[in-house]
Parts: sequence; C-alpha cells; structure tokens
Amino acid sequence: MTKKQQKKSYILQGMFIASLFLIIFVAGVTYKNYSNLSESARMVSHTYEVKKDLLEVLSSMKDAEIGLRGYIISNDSAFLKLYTQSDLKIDNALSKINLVTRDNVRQQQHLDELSTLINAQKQLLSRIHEIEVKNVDEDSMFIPLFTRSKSQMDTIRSKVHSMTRLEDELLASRKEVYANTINLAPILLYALTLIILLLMYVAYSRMSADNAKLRRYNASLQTNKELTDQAEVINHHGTWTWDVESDDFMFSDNLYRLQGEDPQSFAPTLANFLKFVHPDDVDEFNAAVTEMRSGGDMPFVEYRVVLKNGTIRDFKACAKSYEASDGSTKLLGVTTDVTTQVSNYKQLMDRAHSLELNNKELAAFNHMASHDLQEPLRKIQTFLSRLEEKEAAQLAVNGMYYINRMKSASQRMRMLIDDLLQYSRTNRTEKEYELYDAHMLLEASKYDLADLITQSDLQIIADPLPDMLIIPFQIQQLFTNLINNAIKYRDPGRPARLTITYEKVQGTTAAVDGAAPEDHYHKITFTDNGIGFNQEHAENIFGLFNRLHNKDDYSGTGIGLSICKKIVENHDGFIKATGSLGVGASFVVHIPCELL
Amino acid sequence: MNKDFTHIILADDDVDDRMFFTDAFDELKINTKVKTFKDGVYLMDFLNKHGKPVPHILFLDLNMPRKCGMTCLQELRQDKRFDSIAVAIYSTSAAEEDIENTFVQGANVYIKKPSDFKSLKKILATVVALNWQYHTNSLNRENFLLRI
Repeated sequence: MTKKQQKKSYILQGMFIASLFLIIFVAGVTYKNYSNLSESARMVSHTYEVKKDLLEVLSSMKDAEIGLRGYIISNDSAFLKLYTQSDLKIDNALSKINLVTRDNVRQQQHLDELSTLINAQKQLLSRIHEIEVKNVDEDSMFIPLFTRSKSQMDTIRSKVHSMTRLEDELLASRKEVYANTINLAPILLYALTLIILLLMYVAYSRMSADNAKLRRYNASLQTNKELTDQAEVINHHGTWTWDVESDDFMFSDNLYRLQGEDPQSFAPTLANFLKFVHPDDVDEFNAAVTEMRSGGDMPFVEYRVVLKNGTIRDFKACAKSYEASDGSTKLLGVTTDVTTQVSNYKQLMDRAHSLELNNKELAAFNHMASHDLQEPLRKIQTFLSRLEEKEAAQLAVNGMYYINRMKSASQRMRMLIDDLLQYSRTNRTEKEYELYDAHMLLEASKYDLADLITQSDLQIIADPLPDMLIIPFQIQQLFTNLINNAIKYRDPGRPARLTITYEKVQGTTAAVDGAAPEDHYHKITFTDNGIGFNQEHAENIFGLFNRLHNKDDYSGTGIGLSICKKIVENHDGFIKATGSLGVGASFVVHIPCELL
Repeated sequence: MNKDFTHIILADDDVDDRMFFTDAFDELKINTKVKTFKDGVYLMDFLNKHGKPVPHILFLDLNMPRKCGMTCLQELRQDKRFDSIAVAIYSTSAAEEDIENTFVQGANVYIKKPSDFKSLKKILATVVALNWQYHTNSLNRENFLLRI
C-alpha cells in the first residue's frame, strides 16, 4: 500500500470515529432533554398536589369550625361529627405536604409555621367544645373565643396563600427552564444530525470512489496477467515466487509447460522441481538455491532439465528478492528455456571457429605468396639477368626475343604478387585511426613514385591537404595508386597533368549515395588528362582484376583501383570515378572527418 | 690473415642464393673473404667454436630450417664477443613485421633480395662500403631498410 493510500484510509477512519462520537453526543443530549422533561412534569404535578393538599387543610379547618358552630347553635350531634372528622383529614393532608416538600427548605419552614397555627386553632376549637359540653350557656364566653378563632383562621388562610404562591413561583421558574431546554434541543439535534449525514456522505463517496479505483486496478491487473501469460508462452519463460520463510512456492502455468507438464499438475515444491533437473547439474543448482536461501538475489544460473519424454532442454534462471507490502521477503524468479539460443550459440561458435581456421589458412597463404612464391620468381629473374648478361652473345635473335618475353612475363607476375599482397593487407581487420598530416602522405607517395613521375613527365598540381583521422599507411597507398593510375593511363599525345583538389563538404552536398547528411567529409579529387574511359565502365574499374585495356598496352594488374576502393571503404568513405574517353578521368574520394 | 680483407659470412638455406652471393662478390673484385652456411645451426656452431676472426659483416636469411635467422640474431646480440659484427638481414620478404622485429632485435640493415644480378652486386657493394660506425649511430626505422 502506498503512503497516499494509507493516509486516505486514516482520513476515512477519522470520519467514522467523529461520526460515532457525534451520535453518542446526540443520544446523550436527547436523553438529558427527556429526563429534564419528565422532571418538569413531575414538578408540575408536585406543585398541584401541594396546592390541593393545602386547600384540603384549609377546607378541613373551615369544616371543623363550621361543624362546631352548627353543634353549638343546634346541639345536633351530626355537626359535631363534621368537627371530629376534620381532625384526621387535616393530619393526613399535612403529612402528605410534609412528604412532598421535604426537599424544599422554605416550604418546610412555612409548613412548620402552618402546623403551629393549626395546632393553636385546634386547641381553641377544643376549648370551645369543652365549654359547650359543660353546658355553660354563656354566650358572652363564646364571643371572644370565636373572634380569636376568626383571626387565627385568617392567619392560617394567609399562610396557605403564601405557600400556594411559593409553589406557583417555583412552577413558573421551572416552566421557564423547561421551555428553554425544549426550544434549544431540536436545533442542536438537527444541526448535529446534518453534520453526521454530511460526514457519512463524504465517507461513503470516498469509499465508493476507492472501490471504483480498486475495480479498475483489478481489471488492469487481470489484463497484465493475461499479457504476462502470453509473453511467457511466446518467449519460452516461466515465473515463480518463493517465500523463503514459509517455504511456499508458486509456479506460473508456463513454467509447468516448459517442463512438459500440464499447468499446476503437481504441487509447487523444491523437491518436485528438482526431479526435472539434469543429474549432472543438480549440484550446481543446489548451490544456487542455497545461495538464494541465505543471500537473497540469485545471479543467472544455467542448468539442463530432462522432460518425461527424455528430451533435454537448456534452462536459465535468475531471481531477485523483493520485500512485499506486508513485510515478508519473497524471491521473484524468471526461468527461461534457452535451448534454441544455446544451440544457436554453439553453431555460432562452431562457425567462428571455422572462420578462424579459414583466416589462419589465409594468413598462411599470404605468407606463402609473400615469401615462397616470390623466391622462385626472384631466382628466375636473377637467372634471366645472368643469362642475358653472360650468354647473350651466343644466342640467336629469336633467343634474345624469348628472353625478353620471359623477362616481361616474370615482371608481370611480380607485379601481380605485389598487388595481391597489398590487397590482402588492406583487408586486415584491425583499423587503427590516427590524426595524420595527409599532405605529408601525399608527398611520401610522390617520393615513392619519383622515378616514374620523372620518366613520364607528369605534372602534379595539388591543393594543401589538412590533418585527417585515417590509417596513414593505407591513405598513402591510396594516393600512390591514384598517382600511379594517372601515370599508367596518360595520353602519350600531350603533356601529362594531374590536379589534386581538396574541399571540406557536408554530407548533404557530398552528392554521394549513403553519405550522412549531418557529417562533414574531406573531398579529394584526382583529375588527370589521360586517355580516360567510357562512363559506362565507371563502376567496373573498381572490381578486382577488371581491366579496361589490353595488358600489352598498359601495365596495370587490375588490382590497384580495387585496393583504392577497399581503403576508402575501410575509412567509411566513398570513391567515385567519372571519365570521358580521350579527355581524362577523375576520381573523387570522400573521407569522413569524424569516425562514424 | 690479411687485415685488409673484409670477412663476410652468409647464412642462407638456398643453394642458388648462396651461388648468386659468392658470384657477385667474385665479380665485384673487392678484398673480401666470403663464407657461407646452409642454416643457423651450422652458423652458430662455427661462430661459437672458431669465433676468430670475428666476421665484419654477417648476412642473415630469416627463413631457414633448424634455426631461423631471427633466433641467430637474438643469440648473437646476447653475446658480447659478437658486438662488433654488423648484421645485415638478407630476406626475400619485406613484410613490415619482419623489418620491425629485426630492427628491435638489433640488426643493422635490412636488405630485400633483389631480383636481378646487377642490383644484387650494387647492393652488396654498398653494404661492404658502408661506414658502419656512422650508419649504426644514425640508425632509425626509415634508413634501416636499404633502398637502392
């Protein structure tokens, strides 16, 4: 998992935790509101209860007074019953009030005072009752007592009133608190629910986006797997993974096929795999396995396997250790069937070997040509010169003529051998280029040919040549051969002249096929005024042993220009000839300024 | 022995070449004593056993059976007794590597066997007349190969 993905999953977790806390908070607030609400309802009923009981006390007190008065006036005992019953009622009501207001200090004080007042009234009423029972018909005695009773009742009534008022006040304040709570709660709950919904929505949309991404990854993974399978089949390789700690292997389908088995036809274990390894290669294979087990990466190991049908295939395997995202280390390996490559390589080596042998034979032939072939020829020539010198007088005219023919034939053979040697030398493979003064090489060529140049009266007009990156002895050979060419094929009817011009050109203006447009070339042109040639032979003249003229008229061997072409090609350059019969020939050489 | 004679030795396996060589000196009419050997073993045996007088000039063919010219050259140049011998390589080939190797091994001049008798006489006369002191002091790769 990448860091980015990890971060994303943390955000998602955070959102869910926040939502959870908000829901708990909302539940708490709701619970609190409900308990507030029921508390308020309880307080309201409590207030009403207290008020009812207070009224009960008051009305019972009145009943007692009324009953007593009625009894005194009428002497009817039914009134007395009203008086005696009221006592119990008052006590009941008072004890109820006491129970209900036990947590209210002020009300308890009031209640104590009320009880005192009631007791005083009760005593007063019982004194009146006693007087009546004793039958003291003294109206004057009752009057002050009733007056007192009335005033005491007034006090009691006012006390009950003040208690009632206190309960009303309490109720009002409770109603206010209740209203505040009940108004605020829905807004808060609504807002919180919205936030929770928002969080849930964001989390959901993120999850579904991730999900879509996951599906896409899955699809591309599937495609990649198909591609890998196909590539494995086409390239003859198989892949495998090895969890070193748990010793779990996984082989790809094609790995089974390479070993001539059906995909996943046997359990992928090292032991099963080793069954296929060629007995001679088991040790080497095990050494590689041991190295992997300890060190990790496995370098290329080559081994052979024996298939069930007995065929032997060459395999090549390598593996790299890889740390998976879950922290475990796995070896990822590729095993390739290199049977074709190995046999191709063997074939190539065989060919290289036979080529090497051929080259050695060629070198031996060169030596033979340079030494052994020249030796008898040299002796023939020396004997001829001795014969000519010492025995000429005894020879007839024909004899001298034959000697001269033999001399020219052996001379020609010498030239052929020399030129062939030179040609094979220009074929040498090692190419050692150095920056060399080309003008010096031209001067050296002129010096080599000084005798011939003087004999043929050849006039050479040459531009100065710069330093070039060349194989010096080959370029000197090129100059020599081209000058020699101008000498050999000069026109006897006019003074021979050879013009050598130099120009540095770009590939685009070189006007030769195959020139690289970007590169610069040294362009050297050798123009003579010799016998020239027909333009249709322009290509032929560079062929080995191709001659345009009879060998009796012109002394060429047909190798000189082939050597020129070879040398220019050794320098990745170009040589072209243009000619006009009876006017002259022109050889244009292009040598690259830099190595290609 | 007369001190005016120039002592010359040729080692060459080819009977014709030995004949051309002695004939040339016969015709040159200069005071030379010429000895020829048909391979390197004979040559070295002679030099080691009858080393005196030490020859002035030794003409050495490169391509010989039993012991080739290059081996002879190496043995000679490791022996102080033969320091005074001027060694002229006398070979059919003028292959670059032969010229290079004999130069490095301490030969004094390289002669390519000419292909007519006149040139042979001319070359041999030139070699005998060479001021070896001067030639050896100013020896370099360019003048090592004798051109006529």
